[in-house]
Amino acid sequence: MQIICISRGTLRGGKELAEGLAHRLGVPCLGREDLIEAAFRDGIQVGKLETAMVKGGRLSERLAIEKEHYLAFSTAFLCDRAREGSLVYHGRTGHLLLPGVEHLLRIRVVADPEFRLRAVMRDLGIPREKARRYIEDVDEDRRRWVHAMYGVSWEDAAQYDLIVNLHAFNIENAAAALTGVAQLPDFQMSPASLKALDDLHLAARARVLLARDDRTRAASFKVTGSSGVLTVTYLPHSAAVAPAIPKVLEALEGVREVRATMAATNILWIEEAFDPASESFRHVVEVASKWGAAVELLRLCPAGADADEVAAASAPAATPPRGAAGGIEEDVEEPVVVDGGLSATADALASVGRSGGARTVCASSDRLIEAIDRTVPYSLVVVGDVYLSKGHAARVRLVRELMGFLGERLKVPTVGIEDLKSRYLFGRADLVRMVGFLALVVLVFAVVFTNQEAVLRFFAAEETWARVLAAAAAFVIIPVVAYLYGTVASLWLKWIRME
Amino acid sequence: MNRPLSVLILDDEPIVGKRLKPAVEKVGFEVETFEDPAQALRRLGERDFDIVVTDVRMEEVSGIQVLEHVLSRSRRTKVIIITGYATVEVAREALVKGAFEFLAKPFKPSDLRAVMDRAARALGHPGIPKTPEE
Amino acid sequence: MDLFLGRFVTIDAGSALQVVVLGFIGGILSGFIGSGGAFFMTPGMMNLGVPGVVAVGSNIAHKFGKAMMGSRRHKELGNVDRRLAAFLILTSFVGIRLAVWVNSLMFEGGGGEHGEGGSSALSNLYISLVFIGILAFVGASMLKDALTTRGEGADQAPSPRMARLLARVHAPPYVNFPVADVRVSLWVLLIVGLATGYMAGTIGVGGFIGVPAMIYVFGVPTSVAAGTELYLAMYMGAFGAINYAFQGFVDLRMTLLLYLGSLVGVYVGVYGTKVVREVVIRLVTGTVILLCVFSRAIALPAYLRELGLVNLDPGWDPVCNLASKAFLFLAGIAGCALILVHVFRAYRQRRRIEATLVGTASG
Repeated sequence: MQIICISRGTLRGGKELAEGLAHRLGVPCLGREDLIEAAFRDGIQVGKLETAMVKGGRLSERLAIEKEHYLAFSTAFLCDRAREGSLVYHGRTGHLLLPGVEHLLRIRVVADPEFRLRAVMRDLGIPREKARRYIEDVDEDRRRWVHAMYGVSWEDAAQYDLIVNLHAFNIENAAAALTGVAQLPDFQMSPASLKALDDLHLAARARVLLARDDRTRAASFKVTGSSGVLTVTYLPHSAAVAPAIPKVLEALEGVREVRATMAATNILWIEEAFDPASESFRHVVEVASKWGAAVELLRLCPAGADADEVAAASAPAATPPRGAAGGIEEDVEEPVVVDGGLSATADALASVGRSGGARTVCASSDRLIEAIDRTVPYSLVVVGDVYLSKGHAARVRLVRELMGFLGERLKVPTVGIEDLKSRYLFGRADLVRMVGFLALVVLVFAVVFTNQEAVLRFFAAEETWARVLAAAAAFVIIPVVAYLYGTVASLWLKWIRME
Repeated sequence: MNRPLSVLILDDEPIVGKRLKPAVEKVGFEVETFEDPAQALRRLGERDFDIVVTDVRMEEVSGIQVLEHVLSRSRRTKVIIITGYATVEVAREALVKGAFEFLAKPFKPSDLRAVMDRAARALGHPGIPKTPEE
Repeated sequence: MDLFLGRFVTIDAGSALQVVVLGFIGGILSGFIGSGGAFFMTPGMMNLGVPGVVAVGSNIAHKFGKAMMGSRRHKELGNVDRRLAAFLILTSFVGIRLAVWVNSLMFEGGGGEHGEGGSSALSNLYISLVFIGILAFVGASMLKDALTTRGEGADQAPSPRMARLLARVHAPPYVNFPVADVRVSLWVLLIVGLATGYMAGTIGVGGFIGVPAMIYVFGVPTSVAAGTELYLAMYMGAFGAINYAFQGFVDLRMTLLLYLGSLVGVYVGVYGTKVVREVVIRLVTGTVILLCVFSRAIALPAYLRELGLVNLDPGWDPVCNLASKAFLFLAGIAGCALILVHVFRAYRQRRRIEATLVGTASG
């Protein structure tokens, strides 16, 4: 079973290539046109979303919810088809429709400007200058689309496994070459990726149901699924619709349980092994309760060769799929049975109303980023103990690298689990700092207000040198006071749990 | 010279013409509606309209073809494309081929009137008065 | 303490408390809206008898420190386009310098320093007029947006005509901005930077021009605009503070008292944005701004009389001032109360849902 996503950016040629490849592999071929047609029939305002790109690329509050509907629908649509067997999908962003699913073959098709210009001139029957403008505009719109819908850059080559340039290749030969690539074991779905696909499918179908129901269609939700457990997160201002969520979803096939959580913010917690009885768990829950945040658990198990021992020890009976060769190590992963405390922790979170979903990802840190939904506004990433199989020094280095990488790519504050307490929870050190700073602030105020006249005289000086001195003093004193008192204020609010 | 502007509305869904006609006539335009693109094209062959509003996706003839047909006869006519099945590709094609504006369904009649107002002004017409006087 | 040429006022416990409350309300509003707050604090200080220039100077100094605290976080999030900020900062400096120069000139020239009656009337009048002009426009357009988006449709984001006009200016040379991912004509950039700086320098409210301009004219994503604005506010605040301090118009006592309230208020306001719908945010902001404008307008006759432009019984001055103050506090307190009610309600609702969840899990 395999899924091949072809991202077309050429205006002409990508579709032909996809069809040629599908024909050679003997699998069905699905295009963005089919998807849009179906979305349109389902009542999703695709046209509004698309036109918003032409008009500047910004989405209104209502369109942002329409976007959620569209994204869920496309994922559900693709998963529906994928369940029936292998397929080739071609469209703008096929590679982004199934986030976190490994072993997709993601191909980007490009062509040189002249090729595209000629194709457009021919197909639309317009002169060269207009064709050039058309291509520029459409490219810009598509860039905005990818940015608005998925929060990533369309051009980033690292998202693809292969980039095919139709300048040198003719479509026939490119299809033939890709057929060979598609048959490599690296691009066959593993049991782990099939599970990821199932989870995604369930979440997407749930989101589509919420979009179809009148009670819930106007609200924004984030839905994640894991082995039949659905976690629906909603924003505080749509708390009124929360009671309807389980009712809307009860008819959904394959659901064991629905958990609804209100989230003002989201915390992503990455560990290799979770433990609901641990100190870390208490800290994360405490921070989450304080912020009104939902916690999304992400179990990171090592990918590549490092996983050999772990995998062999934990799941000897796993059946490798066809073509069991290098590169499919995580196939022997059995996420349901040996899940490093993931489901137990997720259950514990759910019982305190903080669950933001849970899943396992077996990948290197750079692939991990693909599994993280970048349109979710995380306010904090917590990195716990990962790379457990490494020696201490290597582990420290790898964790630091991972944190740096995540912070840079997600643009979200990232902390290690051991720093969580000192950073976000009110401890003894905070109290000392608060009192100390407060004393300094009181001192400054006392000095200024007992010597008002002198202070004012200093600031209203006549001579140039005294004026320069006054300006310099203002430049120094004001930020210092702001820093001191600002710290006191934020610590105090942290203390009374209002952040 | 305040003659009413002539408008042709073409959409293969009858309800669209039926709803838009009174909404546009209300502000003083002369409106003819069509559901059959062939008939509309015939009518467009008989006389020039100031504003043509057309759907993109119809049986036999596409809105883009209507656009090209209209502009080949009368360059000053303002063509407004309305469609629910809009993609950036279609929108950009329409615009590059000279469409005045592209409006995605669903829209409110007032949205269309706002676009028509701009089209009327572009034609040198005073546009839609703020309060429609009959 | 009148020997300081009528620049500074005597502060007693009562007026000190009023300034702290001003800071608190201003802080809540600025945390809630994302920028501003000065539109409330500056007139509030003027109502206490502080000359306009000193109110603006002290407020800019206050803004400097506050923005510095805020921009640390945003920079962490990578929401700052440094290049865009650098361009705007440089041009806004020119605007600020110009504004400080005009303000000082008005203060020193207007009514004569030792002259009978109002020493700062002309500058007060000028600042109030600019204030009323700009904020009436901002408040009205915000309300209009909020009311139109209230209906079903209106997916188009609000774009004032002026912004659309500027956005259409295609005059090379262009400058590319990597983080914001936009290309802007240098000339438009200069105009926007200058205007932002001038407004920040004159009334201490620059964000109302800077943020919408970045979003609607440059096409910068909202998050980047807000992040860049904080960065910008820090530099503009610093530059404004130095300039005003050099001219002798910073009242350090005022700045310190403002901090006392505002740094707490900001957090409450930020919390409010998480639980209040966007339409309501705009509605509240627009209304509060318009009430502030109205309050300032009531204060105008006194300045006009001091300048001898109208004949009024000086006995009316305290009445006008009191009415103006009342309106300002009414606006601020009503706005804040509304925000706090929402915050509280969201809090309670969350508690209730948590309780039911825990109940079902254990039961």
